[in-house]
Amino acid sequence: MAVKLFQDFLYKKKLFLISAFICFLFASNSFASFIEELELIKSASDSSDEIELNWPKVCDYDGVRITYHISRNDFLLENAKLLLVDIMGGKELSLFDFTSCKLKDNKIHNKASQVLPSGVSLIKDYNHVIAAKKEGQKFRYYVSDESGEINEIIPPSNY
Amino acid sequence: MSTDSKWVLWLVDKGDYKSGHVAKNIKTQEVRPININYIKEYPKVNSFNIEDSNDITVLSSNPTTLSIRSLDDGSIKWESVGINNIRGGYYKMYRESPSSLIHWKWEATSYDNDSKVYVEWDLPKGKGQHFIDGGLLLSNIAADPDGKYIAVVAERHSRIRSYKAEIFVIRTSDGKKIFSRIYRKRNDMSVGFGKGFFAYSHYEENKNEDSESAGSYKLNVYKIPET
Repeated sequence: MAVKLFQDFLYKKKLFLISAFICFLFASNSFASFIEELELIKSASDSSDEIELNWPKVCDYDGVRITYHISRNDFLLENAKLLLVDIMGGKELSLFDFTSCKLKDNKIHNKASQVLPSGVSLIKDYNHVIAAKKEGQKFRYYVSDESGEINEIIPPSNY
Repeated sequence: MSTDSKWVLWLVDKGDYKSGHVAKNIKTQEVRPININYIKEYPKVNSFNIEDSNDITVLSSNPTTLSIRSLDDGSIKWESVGINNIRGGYYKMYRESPSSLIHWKWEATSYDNDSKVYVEWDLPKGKGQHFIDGGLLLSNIAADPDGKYIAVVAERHSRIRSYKAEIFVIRTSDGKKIFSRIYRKRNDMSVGFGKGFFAYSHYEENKNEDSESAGSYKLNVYKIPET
């Protein structure tokens, strides 16, 4: 008899814990949804904080993205009227000419693409590319010169 | 790397705080390392720029100075940087006006006292600081080559709160936002400047259901007024 009472007690406790857990899940989900709803409502007021850019729009261009293949603290081609962009979803790089609103013909991706696919690159301008290629745990570094040739450079030994 | 590709410079952390950093050069055409030791003059090197074959600009936080070392004869000239209390973060130095710089922090960290995300600048056109609120982190930043404008993309990634991103442009003379747009859907924004131009790119979903592609990237280009 005592054993049965004890088993009943355990069963009820288990039921209680499961119910509490389900309630907790519902509550947390509802809370998350509630927060999300609030954010959506708030987004309506966000739009009133927006400011239109009062500069003349020169052009729209489809299919390119300003590249991310650069060091995050390096401003690129900043004195030029050219912008480094990704094309083909980032598989290739090219230069966008602000003044003519079109891509330049002399693309840099032929030089850089030899090392870009598995690495990172820092491009100082369209003639000079430094790129790092990861091989296992180590990086190998390459620099292109004005002729477009890529040469490997050896960093300091303790780097 | 210098813009003429003749030099590449590494900043090597020796793992010993007292020793500071050692900057090493490699002249790419000779592929031969040349050591430049900053230990005595600059116990903590924050950043350096090498723009051409003549010299390197070095930013040091202790003291907050900016130095220019000639690669040819090894001579150094230095001056104080307008932004004090340089800590972590990233820097952009302007070679046209050597003591000018932009400093920013991508994200707030709990292990230092600097718990805010911000961008600050000290440029010939003005000096100021802009804090990023609402749990947003910097994801992209660009500066006008003339130092008049800074463009920023800030995003919030949170499991509980919904996605939010803002792209904005600050005028450096008075710190005023002159452009701001807020997005509630991820669209992979980037910003960039050219001489006299500002551009931003973003992903746009295809609204035409019959179309085969899900969407594409758009590049928006603006001309910066000369006044």
